[in-house]
Amino acid sequence: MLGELLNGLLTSLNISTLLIMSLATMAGIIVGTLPGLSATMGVALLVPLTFGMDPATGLLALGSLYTGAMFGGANSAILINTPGTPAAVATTFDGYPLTQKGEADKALITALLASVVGGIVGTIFLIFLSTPLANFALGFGPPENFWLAVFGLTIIGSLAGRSITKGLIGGIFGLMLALIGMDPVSGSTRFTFGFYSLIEGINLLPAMIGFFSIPQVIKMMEQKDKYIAKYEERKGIYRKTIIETLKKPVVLLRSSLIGTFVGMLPGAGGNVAGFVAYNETKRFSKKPKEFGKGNIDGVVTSESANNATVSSSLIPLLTLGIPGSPVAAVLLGGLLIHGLKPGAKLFTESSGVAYTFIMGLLVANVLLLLLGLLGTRFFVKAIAIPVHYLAPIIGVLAVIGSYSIRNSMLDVFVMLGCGILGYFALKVDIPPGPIVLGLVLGVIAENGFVLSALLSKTGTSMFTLFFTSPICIVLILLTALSLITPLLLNMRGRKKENDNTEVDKPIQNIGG
Amino acid sequence: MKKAYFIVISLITVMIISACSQLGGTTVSSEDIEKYPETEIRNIVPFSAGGTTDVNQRIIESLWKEHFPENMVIEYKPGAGGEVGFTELAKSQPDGYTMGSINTPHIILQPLGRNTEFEHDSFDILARLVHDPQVLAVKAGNDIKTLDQFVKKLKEKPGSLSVGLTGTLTGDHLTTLKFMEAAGVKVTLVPLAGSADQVKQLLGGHIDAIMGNVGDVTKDIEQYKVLAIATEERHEWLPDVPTFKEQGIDLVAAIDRGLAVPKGTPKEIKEKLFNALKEINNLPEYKKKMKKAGLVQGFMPGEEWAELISKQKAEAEEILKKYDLIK
Amino acid sequence: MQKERVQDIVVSIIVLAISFLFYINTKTLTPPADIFPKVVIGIFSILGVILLVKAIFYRKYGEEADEETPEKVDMKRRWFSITGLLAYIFLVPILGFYVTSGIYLVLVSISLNDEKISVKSLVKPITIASLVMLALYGTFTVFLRVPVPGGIFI
Repeated sequence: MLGELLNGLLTSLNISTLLIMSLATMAGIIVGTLPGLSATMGVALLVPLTFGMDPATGLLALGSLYTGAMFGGANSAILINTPGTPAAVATTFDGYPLTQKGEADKALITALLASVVGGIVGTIFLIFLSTPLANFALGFGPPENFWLAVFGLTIIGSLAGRSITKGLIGGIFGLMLALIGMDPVSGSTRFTFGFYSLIEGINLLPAMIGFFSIPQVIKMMEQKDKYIAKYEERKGIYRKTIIETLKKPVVLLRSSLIGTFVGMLPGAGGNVAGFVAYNETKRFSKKPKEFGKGNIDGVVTSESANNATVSSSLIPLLTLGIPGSPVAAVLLGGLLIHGLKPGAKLFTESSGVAYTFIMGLLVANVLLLLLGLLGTRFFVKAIAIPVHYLAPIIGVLAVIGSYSIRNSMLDVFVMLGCGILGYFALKVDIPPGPIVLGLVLGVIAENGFVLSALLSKTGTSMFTLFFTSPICIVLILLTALSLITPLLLNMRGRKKENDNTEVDKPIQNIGG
Repeated sequence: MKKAYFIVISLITVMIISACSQLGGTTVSSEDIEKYPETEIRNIVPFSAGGTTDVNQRIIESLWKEHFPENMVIEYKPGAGGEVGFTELAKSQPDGYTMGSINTPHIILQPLGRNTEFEHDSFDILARLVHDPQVLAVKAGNDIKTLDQFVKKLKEKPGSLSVGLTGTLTGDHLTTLKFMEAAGVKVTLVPLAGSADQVKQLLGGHIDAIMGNVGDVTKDIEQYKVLAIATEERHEWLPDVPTFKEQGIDLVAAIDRGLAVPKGTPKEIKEKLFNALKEINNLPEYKKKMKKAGLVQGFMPGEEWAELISKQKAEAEEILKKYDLIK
Repeated sequence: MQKERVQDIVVSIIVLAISFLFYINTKTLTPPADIFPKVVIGIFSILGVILLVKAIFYRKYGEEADEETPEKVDMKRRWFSITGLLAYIFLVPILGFYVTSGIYLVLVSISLNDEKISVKSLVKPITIASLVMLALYGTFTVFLRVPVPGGIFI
């Protein structure tokens, strides 16, 4: 195997392949940065262009674009508080506050570095452990998916702003939005309130663009500031930030691992990974109160997790032929068009292509680092655009972005509706994070629940289905833990306050 | 803020003017037909990128330029089991610049089962491209090794085996209902998000069987034990798999995919598109690519397919009525 | 302080209203498809009630709100930006994406800028708007070949 890996590496290192990969990475960064042009779409657009290339090069181009796009999402998340891809939602929580503090450059470089580390960790798992991991991923049936979603919902606790109650209201509202559309069992429409077009449901991407970018646009317009934040070029910031980031091996590694594990679960995947990693990093942090106000660890964790999902979402595809994410589904199409059969046979029948592809993903991450460092100098200048130009430009991008997802004006109206709703929700302290999380998890939770209920008709009891599989038990324990820790921290905080009279405020967000 | 009011008023004026100029409709004149095609053709794919329909259309796209004067642009309109894309196609201008994929029995079942904005005959069909027979498969290594065992278990305990489908009111759904009818058994139907989800749940051991397609299971045949195939005679891709008929169950079913244009598209234009498709279909390169991608070719001219569709509709209506699935 | 209390009461009433609206719609659902939506709607309404109770009886209101810096919000600008967005998005499918977006960019940047309108002050926004539209046209229509909303213009 090592020989094959080395061969693969050498194949990916020829000049023309590297050139194509660099172009694809750059395109990926741009696609990822533009809200609405998600990684899925970028890869889908690139597929026809790979027809003329040999399969390995074509796949590497697709892989590089995916890697670039995953990082690109962070650019807009940090600079304009609008995640470029759904996986980058968690990056906004601390990335944008950093920009407001005038530390946009630091946040961007950190995001880049974290992305590269996450990407490499994920790829290492893909190379060495893909078969056992794929079998683990298969263990996730409907009940397991249901509990995963429930566990995911506990994250709302760490995303809520000043009031947990309102955070929960946001999260559950997201779940309700996810109900709109077709009933997963009977296929009949429900909660469409008379609008036929809503049969498609509320699509995640336009809703996300709306909830994040429109409130941002309105806020920029109503405030009389000329720029969104002050920014001055600082000397030596690159060196300093790189060293600082690398001094956080625990956060980097933990987040990358979470990204790898969550990312490979078909159906749940990439969009949830960033949230879970953010939650865990906040839980283990010594300064959980700083999260959401510009803690650099928030950027590190979200970005390393979401780039780890790039490779890990390919694990079920390459070993079993099951696409683990929408992007993997598009890649599957690409593989098939090139006449390659994904699944275990890929490594035996077309091992040359397969090994070149997975080793090339490592190369893609190196390219991302180089191109990203160049790009950052350019992207950070977005802050220097006066608000009266920047705000309408974001508005225009939100429109074209939500339209082009599936060429539907309806998505643009959904985006606008969610946006205006999101703006007023923000005014009453309901942040967009929990709403989007609820929307992501709603479908997973409901499908898991309903399918389990259907499966119970075969004779297995609901109790056996929901409470006896090892994965279910672990997820239930994690959920319980996630619910209890804030209370424990709260108690510890109070005790600390009693012990010494310093003005170290306890985490008292529970009230509201 | 006077400026603001000025701007709002000017915007409203523009709105009114533009609304007025929208009134005139467009019709296709004989001159248009002669000049056709003048610009690129839109091809609506009603499923998400990377799916079977998409792969089929991408293969056609890669060969399209050599057989048709203008480019083809694929447009994804996924949602609601293809319904969103079918609706878009049915409602498009019949000027020859929009075509799209249709699948049976989806376009038959959806209007029967729920309120849709199209009917099974809202299209002018160009040609059928893929004819993918349905198969009943379990995971390799399962206790159940034959269709007889499968049926026997269900007869002993109705509903004790679960069968995964790609959603409600799809081909898999109809075929499973037909199977239940023909074999006189009852299975637990599990509608899933798509064929990838079907495979995942089956291999993970969460469901007992899938009602899938030849194309799905031949991608990696070692993972499955195919119990039966719903064809008249054994299939060349699966020569060892017995048909349902051989095993005493009268079940023939397949998912068909093809291309159509909105109803009312001029005949000359349809012929031009059909000829290009026919030429591509006969290319050895196309055949090779289709086989590699696991797509079972089944070319059939539009009129023939349309007849078949109306026959299938009558059949489907009967079955759906029995299971109380008619809207 | 009092304002926030009123705000919370309004939010909780809206939450309860939405729950009610969704609940009516569950009537057509058949089991087991109705359990999950009903549970979700139930939780939502309970949260609404909790918020309402807190808003009415909880005493320590607005303790943290004081930390916030007063926002420099211009109410006229707020409504102007919202109506602007609405008008823009409703015009896109009628006039075509590029033309509408170009007009929108120019009008908004002029109105947000505090300079007086003169020929000179118009040059910059128009140039910038055309450059942005050109860049978008290049990316979406020429390079990516992604369809954009069409109308009577492009």
